[in-house]
Amino acid sequence: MTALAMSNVLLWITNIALVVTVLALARQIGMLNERVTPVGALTMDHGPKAGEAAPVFNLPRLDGGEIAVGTATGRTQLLFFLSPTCPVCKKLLPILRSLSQHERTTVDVVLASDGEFDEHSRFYQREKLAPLPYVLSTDLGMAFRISKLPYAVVIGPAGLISAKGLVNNREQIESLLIAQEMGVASLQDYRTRAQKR
Amino acid sequence: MDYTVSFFMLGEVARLTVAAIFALAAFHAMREWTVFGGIVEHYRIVPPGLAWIFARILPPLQWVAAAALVLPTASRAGAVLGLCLMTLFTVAIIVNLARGRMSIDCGCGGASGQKLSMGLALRNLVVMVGLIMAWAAPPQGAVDGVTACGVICASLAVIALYFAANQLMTNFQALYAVSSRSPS
Repeated sequence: MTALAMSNVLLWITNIALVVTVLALARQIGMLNERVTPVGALTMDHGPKAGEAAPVFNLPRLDGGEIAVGTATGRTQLLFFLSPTCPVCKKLLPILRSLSQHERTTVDVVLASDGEFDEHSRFYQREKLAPLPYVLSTDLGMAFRISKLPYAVVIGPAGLISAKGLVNNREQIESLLIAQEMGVASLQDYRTRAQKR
Repeated sequence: MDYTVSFFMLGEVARLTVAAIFALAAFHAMREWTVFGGIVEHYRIVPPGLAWIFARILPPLQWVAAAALVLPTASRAGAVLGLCLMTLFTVAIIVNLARGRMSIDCGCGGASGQKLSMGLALRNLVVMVGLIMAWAAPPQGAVDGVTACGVICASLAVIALYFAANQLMTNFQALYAVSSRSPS
C-alpha cells in the first residue's frame, strides 16, 4: 500500500511537471510568433524614413473641409492611423484627445483611416472625436506603408518625418514626440548613437 | 470500484478547473476595460451603445460564477450561472463564425490575439460539459486526504492543460497567418 501511494504521489508530481512544461513550451512558441510578426512587418517597412520629407496630401476631412498632411506648417503633426475594428486603437483615443488638448500650441493630431464613409462617420460621432480632423485615404496609408495598427507618424514643423512606429499605449505615443524633441528617429537609433559615443 | 466516489472526484475537478478559468478570464478583462469594451462591440451582438454596459457586467459575473463554484454550498448555482455565461459566449462566437467574421479578437484573455475559430466553440463546449459535471456530481461530506490530494493535483494538471491547449490554438492561428503571408 505504501509503495502504491508513493508511486501515485510520484506520478502526480511528474504529471503536473510535464503539463507545466508543455504549457511553458507552448507559451514560448507563442512569444516567438509575436516576435517573428514585427520582423515580417519591418521587412515590408519601405515607407519614408525618419528625416525624409513626408509625402504631401490634401485630404477631405470627415467633418467637412480639407486638411493638408505632410506640409511644412511650422507645427508638429501627429498622424495617427486607426481602424474602428481595432480595440487597442480605441483605447488610445482618449489619450490622443487629451494630448491634442495639452499640446495644442505645438502639435496637431490628425486621425487617418480608410474604408466606407458612413461607417467611419458613425464611428467619429460615437467616439465623440470632434474637433480632431479625421481623414479617409487608402493612398495615405499606402504612402506610409502602414501594415499594422495603431500606427503613428510624427511630422516635424518643416514637413520632415521625425519619428514613427507602432504604438500600443500612452508611453509609446509620448516616446515618438520625445524622440522628435531629442532629434532621434527611434529607440534603436538612440541606442546606436549612445553606443557610438 | 466505487463509481459514486469517481463521479464525485470528476465533478470536483471540473468545478475547480472551471472556477480558475472564469477567474482568470475576468481578471484579464478587468485589467483592460476599454479594450474589452471594444472587443464586446466588435462581436456586433448588442448595439454599440449597449456594448460597454455588457463589458462592465460580464467580468463581474464571471467572478461571481468563479467564487460560487469554489464554495461547496453554492457550487450548483455557480455551475448554472457559468452555463448561462458560456452559452452566451458560444452563441456569440458561432453567430460571428456564421457571418464569416473570423478575424475579430475572441477576447478570451483581454486582447489575447486569439481569433475566432470552430476550435474555440468546441473548447467552450468542453467547458460546458465540465460545468454540467460540476452540477450533476453527487455532493459528498468530508473526504479523506488521498481524495482531496487527488482532486487538487488533477485540477492543477487540467488547468495547465487547458491553458496549454488555448496557447497552442493561438499559436496555430499565428503560424497560419505567417505562412499564408509568405510567398510560397
